This record gives sequence, C-alpha cells and structure tokens, in this order.
Amino acid sequence: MVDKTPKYLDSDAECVKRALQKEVNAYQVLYERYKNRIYRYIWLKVDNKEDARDLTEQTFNKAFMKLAKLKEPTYFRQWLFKIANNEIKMYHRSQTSRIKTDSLDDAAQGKVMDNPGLSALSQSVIWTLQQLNKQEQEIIRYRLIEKKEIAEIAKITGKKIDAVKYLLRKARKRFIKIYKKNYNLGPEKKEGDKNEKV
Amino acid sequence: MKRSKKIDINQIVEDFTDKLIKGEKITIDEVLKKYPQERSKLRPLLEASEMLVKAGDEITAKTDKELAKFDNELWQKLEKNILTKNLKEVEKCKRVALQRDMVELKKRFEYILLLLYVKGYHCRIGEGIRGITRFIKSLFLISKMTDYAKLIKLYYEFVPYKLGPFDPAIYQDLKVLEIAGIIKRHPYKYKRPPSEAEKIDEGFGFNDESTIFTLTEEGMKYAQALARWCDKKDRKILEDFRRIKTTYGSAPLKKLLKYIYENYPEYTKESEVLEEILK
Repeated sequence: MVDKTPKYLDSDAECVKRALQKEVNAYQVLYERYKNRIYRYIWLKVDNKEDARDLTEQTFNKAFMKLAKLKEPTYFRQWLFKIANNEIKMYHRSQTSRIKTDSLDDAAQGKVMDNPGLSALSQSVIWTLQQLNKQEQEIIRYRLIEKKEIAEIAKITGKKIDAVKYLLRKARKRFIKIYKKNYNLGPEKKEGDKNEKV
Repeated sequence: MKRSKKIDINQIVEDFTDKLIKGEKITIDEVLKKYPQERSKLRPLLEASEMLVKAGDEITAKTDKELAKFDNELWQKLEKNILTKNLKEVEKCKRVALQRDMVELKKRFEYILLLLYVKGYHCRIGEGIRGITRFIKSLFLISKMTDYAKLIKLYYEFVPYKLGPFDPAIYQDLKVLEIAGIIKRHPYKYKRPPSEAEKIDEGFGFNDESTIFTLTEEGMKYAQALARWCDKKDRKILEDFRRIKTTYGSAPLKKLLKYIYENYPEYTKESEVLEEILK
C-alpha cells in the first residue's frame, strides 16, 4: 500500500495521466482515494456485503482496464461513480425477480431490512434513502453520509451553492415524510403553526 | 422604515448539520427555541439531518471496517490485472521483435533494453547495470542530454522525489520485463559493508543486497534488433547511449547524484539526501 501520496499524484488528472503511462503507483493512489467511498456507495444500494465487495472489485477493474477511454481525466471521480452505477444497475437487473419479491416482503413487514450490525435507525434510514429519487439520494449522500461541505458539493455536482441548499432542503423534507409515513410515526408535529400565525 | 430580517431556513439547517458533523453538542430544541416562528418548517428538516448524520456515522464505520478486511486482497487482484495488461503488451512486442532482424524503437521500455545492451565501463556488450537508482538516473540523463526521448510518444516523465529525478513507472517496467523473460535480476552481495551511498543505490528498499540487471537471451535478441534499427537511423544514438552508460551507468552513486543535483537542481526539491550528497 502507498504509505504517503507523492506530491505529483495529488490530482486525479495527474494520476490518470500517469496510470496511462503504466505507473501502477498511480492506479494505487486512485484506488486508495476512492475505495471507501465506492464501497459505501455500492453497499448502500445493494444491502449485501459480499455483493458490494464483488461490485467494488468490478468497478475498479473496469475503470482501470478502460482508463484510456476516459476523455477528460479531471472527471475521473464522476466517471468512476458512473461505472459503479452501471454495475449496480446490472446487478439489480440480474436480481430482478428476487428484488421484486423482496420489495413485496418489505411492504408486508414494515420495511425492516436484515442488516446485522446496524442499528434499527440506520436500517430504516437506508431503506428510506432508497425510496428517494437519484438526485435526492446523491445530494443526501454527499452531505450527510460523506459529510461534505456545501461548497464542495456544489463543485462536485456543478451546481450553485443556493441550488445545493435548495435541493438538500427538498430531499430532507421528502426523506422525513417517507420515513414517518413508513415507520408509523404519524404526521409531522404542528407545534409551530400557532407561532407562525402570530 | 424598519424591515424585519428574513430568516434563511436552509442556512439554519446547514449550520445545525455542520455542528452535528463536527460532533458539537447541539439539540433540535435549542435551534427551535431560537426561531420559534419557524418551528414547523424547521423541525422535520432538523430531524432528518440528525437522523441521517447519526446513521451516516454508523454506516461509514461499518463499511470502513468491512472494507479493511479485504482491502489488501482486492488491491492485489487489481494490481495483478494491471500488470497482466502491461505484460501482454510487452510480450506482443517481444514476439514481433524475435521474428525480425530490425525493430523500430517505439516503446519506452525499449530504452531499458538498449541501455542494457550497449557497451559500458568494461566495454562488454550487454554489460549489466547495478542498482535501480543508477538505472533511473541513466534513463533520466538520456532524456536530458539527448533528443532521443522525443523519438517516442510517451517517455518516462521524471518528477522531483526522495533521491532526485524519479519515475516509478521504471520500477513497473523492470518488473514486467522480468516476468516477460526479457531481463534478469541477479543479487549482488557486498564483499565489504556497503557505504551509505551504496545503500541508497537500491532506493529505500535496501536490505543489504544490491541487484544487477542484465538481458536474458531473448532480451539480447530483442535489443539487437533495436540496435540495428538505431544504427540504421542514426549511428549517434548508440554512441550516446554508450557514452551515458559508460560515464554514469557505473559511476559511484554519490558522484552520479552530485552531478545530477548540481546540473538539474529543479529535481532536488523533494530530496532527502541533498545535503549529504552536496557535501
């Protein structure tokens, strides 16, 4: 493993350039830089440790073997996540019948996932997250799971800071609505209504 | 006229989230107390943040722990695939070269073969080079003292590093060339305790043993085909390679590094032995 990233490999673009020149060290820096995020990203979407592990391997393998096809090296991160997404899609396609049955089971059993080692809260949060649309999931993942700052998310997504804040608010609202509805917590509290009228 | 200041709900939620992320102590009720008129709008957003940050911490800890268990194994598989890809290319070049009398110098690893092929200090064809550092510096000098690096699309790209100019791709190329049966590494045992300069000869992986790189029989045939092409294109190519190998390929390492550090100071920015060398 790389003990310390050499300065010349600070940027993804330089790593990609060097990797294309067959420098294994550059591949390793890219792997080290993204392995946790990619694994977590996949893990959240497949709910299965073994499958998440296989898909992580396939994602990096595809990215590294097809690196020459990446036209803009500065977009390595986005490209890598796109590959991960495709792998997840293919995985779900191959599991279609199982997933359908599981969804029905979830509905019948009050959306309790079987994820040993995670608290009931985290399990219900993951399930709820999966009910959001792609954009909402992405923005929540960046801000609240990966814990990135708004400015950084704006840079990654190419959106303005206010737009990121707006999307986050929308996503949070939807999240809590779905969460409360599905975990029988009743409607949101109306405690502030009185004050608002004042 | 006095205007009431507009409350930015988004900002309040983000400030609250930032505090949670930083692990600061803050409760939803504290925020709601500050903005009683926005309680109904704020509460669900703050609740969502709190829940997600908490779950996020747990998920991150769990996935990081899981990944750590197979991280090494996963990287080793990826590394093997990368090396296999590089190896396939080298083996293809070797097959072509062994079928021909003459092959054009097209790949950067072929500079390694040519450097090993030409005569060196002892005036012998195929004379070995001792130590990875001497190898790296000789390839660096080829790019600086001649125009031949420009003959190919992607030559080694040197950056300042611990021992001056460095490109780790040389390590990988040597590894792949060895697997492809083109070069050989021979361990070199010191007859007396190695000096400090000799120790850095092997980079930082020094283990009381040095390495001599030479061509295998097939490597020799491949290099001969390259040498014939160079000879035909411009006799000066081989002469310059020979000059660099003779002068620097077997020079005492301290002297070689001193020469490079004095003539190419831009590559010494990261050097850990600069002062020692320039003494």
